[in-house]
Amino acid sequence: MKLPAAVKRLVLPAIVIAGILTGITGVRAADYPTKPITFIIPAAPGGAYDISARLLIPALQKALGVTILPQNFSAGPVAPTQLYKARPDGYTIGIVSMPGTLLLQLMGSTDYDVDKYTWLGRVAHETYALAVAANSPINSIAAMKALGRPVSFTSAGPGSTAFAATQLAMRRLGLNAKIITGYPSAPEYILGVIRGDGDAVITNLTALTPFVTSHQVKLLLSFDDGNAVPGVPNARAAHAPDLAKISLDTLVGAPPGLPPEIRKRLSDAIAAAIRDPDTQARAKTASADLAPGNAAQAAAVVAAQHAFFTKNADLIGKP
Amino acid sequence: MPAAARTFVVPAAIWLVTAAFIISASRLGPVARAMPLLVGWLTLLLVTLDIVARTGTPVGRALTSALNPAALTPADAQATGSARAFRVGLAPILALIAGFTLIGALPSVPVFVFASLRWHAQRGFLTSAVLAVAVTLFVYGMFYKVLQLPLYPGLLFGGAWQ
Amino acid sequence: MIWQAWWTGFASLVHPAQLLLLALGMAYGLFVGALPGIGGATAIALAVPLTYGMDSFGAIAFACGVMGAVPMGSSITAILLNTPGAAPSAATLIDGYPLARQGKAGLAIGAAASSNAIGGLIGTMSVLVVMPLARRIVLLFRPPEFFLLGMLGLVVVALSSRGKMLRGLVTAGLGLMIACIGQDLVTGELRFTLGSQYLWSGVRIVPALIGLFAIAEMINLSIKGGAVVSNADARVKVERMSAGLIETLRHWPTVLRGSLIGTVVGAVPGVGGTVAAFLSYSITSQVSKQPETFGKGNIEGVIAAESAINASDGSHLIPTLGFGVPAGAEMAVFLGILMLHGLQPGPAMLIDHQAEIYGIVWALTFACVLASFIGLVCVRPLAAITTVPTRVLVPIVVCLALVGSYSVDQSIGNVIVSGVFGVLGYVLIRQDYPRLTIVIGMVLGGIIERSYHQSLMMSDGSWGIFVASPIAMTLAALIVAALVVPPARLAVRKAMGA
Repeated sequence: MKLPAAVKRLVLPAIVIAGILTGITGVRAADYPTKPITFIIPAAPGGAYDISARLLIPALQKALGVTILPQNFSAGPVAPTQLYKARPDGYTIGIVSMPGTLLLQLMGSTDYDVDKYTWLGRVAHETYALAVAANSPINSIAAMKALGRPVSFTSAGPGSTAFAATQLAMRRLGLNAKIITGYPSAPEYILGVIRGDGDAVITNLTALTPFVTSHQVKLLLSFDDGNAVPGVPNARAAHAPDLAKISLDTLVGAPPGLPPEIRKRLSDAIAAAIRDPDTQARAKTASADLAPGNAAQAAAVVAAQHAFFTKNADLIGKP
Repeated sequence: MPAAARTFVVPAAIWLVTAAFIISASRLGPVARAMPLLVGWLTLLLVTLDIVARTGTPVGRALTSALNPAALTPADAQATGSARAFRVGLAPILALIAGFTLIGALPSVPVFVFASLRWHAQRGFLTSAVLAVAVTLFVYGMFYKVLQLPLYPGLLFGGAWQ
Repeated sequence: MIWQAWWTGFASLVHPAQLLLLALGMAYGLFVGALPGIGGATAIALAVPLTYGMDSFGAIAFACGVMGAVPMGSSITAILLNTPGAAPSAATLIDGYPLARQGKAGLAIGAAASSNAIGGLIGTMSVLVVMPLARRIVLLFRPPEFFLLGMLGLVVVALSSRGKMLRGLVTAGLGLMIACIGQDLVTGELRFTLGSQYLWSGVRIVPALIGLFAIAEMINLSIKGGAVVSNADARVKVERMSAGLIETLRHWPTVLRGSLIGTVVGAVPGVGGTVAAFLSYSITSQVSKQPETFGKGNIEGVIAAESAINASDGSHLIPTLGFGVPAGAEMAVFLGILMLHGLQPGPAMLIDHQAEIYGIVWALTFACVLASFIGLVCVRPLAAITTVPTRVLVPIVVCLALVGSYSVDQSIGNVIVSGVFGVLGYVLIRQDYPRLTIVIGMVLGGIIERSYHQSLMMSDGSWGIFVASPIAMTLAALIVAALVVPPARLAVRKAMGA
């Protein structure tokens, strides 16, 4: 069949141009990276995620050979949205905190979908724990149940992981309890327990550790299957294995649709950055617990948490 | 609009915004709406008193004397919405913000500085151009290079809308 | 033991490498603090990577250099251009900028520098005295006390608008309404966000202040023309360096009062330097014999605000070092730097790292005093900015202000907020509504609301919790006094005048 001349004039050049562009893109992927990479951090400077991210940056720059530009955002949907909507060219990556980012999505209409990010790896994995003030007369979960009045927990507001963890613990441990919400950050609600605003607090171990070390709080239960805190009962011992499903994971992601070659390059660089001896040394000095994981593990974390919170949507406290 | 009526425009606008705030707040849950409703109703009352204080009636004059003695009298109310105020003061800054949002910081800054100096400040072409370039270089050098703070690229060039 | 730690901390600082790092941090903080939108938190955060290669004393010296100098840099732009470099400086500009317009920019900067130094000294020295009691002090303030402290601040400032109390209360109400925007921390509900994800975190205070003061004033000047110095024929009075210092010493009760307010308020986590500055300013205007001169170029307004700001910066160390709970965003970053260098703030640090604590205090004191000295020395060239024709100055200041606003958290929403508040600020100026009260409403609204609900959750709905402790009762009494005393004074004056 003879093609009309006009089509020939349009189609052939289009094919040639597409071929050239593909070739150029192919060449670009091989050259990647050639300019600075933006690293989105969903926390104000000095926050926990900020420290983890900045620990990685020097080694990541060494592995990739370009400058990494940290870009801080306040907590909330802006950071994950910025990451989600960025161009998938490998020049924007970012920290995605789970399940916090997922809970925001489940709380309200956000412009991102956690299942669609391109996952590059995991930086940290933290267990949750239940603590009381060091001078509290409560020394065990059994004692908490025998109080004869509702136990009060201090926590952040609905939509936060701490709130969800507290709700889960109340149910699985069979506690008669109430939650005093409204604290803007972990140090504040932990301080709330020390002050006596409430009886107990549930949050991640990294936030609790400084207060445990300085003998201001004592741990009663760790939400894990193993031996995260020697001498402290775990979720199994408390007959509440479900508690181990709540954890804090710091993942590294990129926008959906990242080309596979660039994805591999970034995943390898992140893994190398975490393994770098300087990073490990700085992490040790900063008492930051790096728990590396690859892209597949990161994706598995997201899938598991999504399934868990979809099944237990009432934990989120959506108004 | 007569000068006497102009004095009511701003408090009337505040009254309407506060009323909308109260209506919106009443749709929230009981704890979430407690403070907004309290603040909204108190503000509505205060704005109503402010409006009455401007009427020049005996009640109005008594309110002004008791609670707002240094306030402008209706006759002295300064025109805020004049065409000149808009053209000279507000419009250029709104245009800069629009430019910032659409095409980003780096293109908007030199265009705005040049246009302001050339047509508003009546400076020569060369002076305006040199100052525009200098300010742009300072912004680029200080914020982007030294402090490594990204400059907004603009919605049309991939900037995020938030 | 404590004296030993004092001396060790001092000795560790007086070392060429440490002093150099302190000076570098100070120069950086002074310059960056003057940029609109770049407050202490951002300034230090940007410097965090620079501290990686430093030892712990070096990192402390550098960070303290930055923190000590930022307020001075911020005050300079507040006075000269009505543009707060950081949120607390919004209190300085209320009288600082009118002084600049009267050709007294040098006097204002000199007074700001002097009260900066004295306030900073008092704040940091108080840390030395109070640190052993840090734990007890921080534990005294629970949600009921936070609520009452917030209410006290609101009442004092809202009623301070001499002659315009009704309009001051209206704008305070507006400020409280604006503070309700965003995700409610207590219930998680989104309020008044108009479908915008930007507003989930509420209206950011720094972009709002940049709009309310800097942009609004630039709009006003654009229309009026002339120069910042309002009398075009007046030459800028080039004061000697000592003029501002003399004024500060002359008003020593104001300095002491501001420093005390700053020290007390700064020790309470979450309340911040902005509240301290506005509270000090308002109380000073109320006790003054010429309250009607405030807002029109009364040097005491500058002194009150500046002494409180720097005193609070020093006492922010109390909850931060004593508990590991940052007193504000800047302290959160500083905490991060300490942790990166193996120091864990908290009661353990009070016992095991006393030398480092006193090193921090000394470094902050040095930086604050040195930065103030540089401010004093640079009074003349800085004051010359006020003679530049506004039609040349306005576009430059507006561009820097908006770029700075965007830089707060790299969100274009900040620029739009600055624009909206700029228009609002201009309207408020022309219609003679005070802007001071809208700021205090915005700053305190969140603390007041959540601590109110938290108190009732703690007490299962009983209002008795608000008078259950000595501090709560004292604060409640102060609120009543703040409501009753000013009209009583007025009535007595009128009766005596009659």
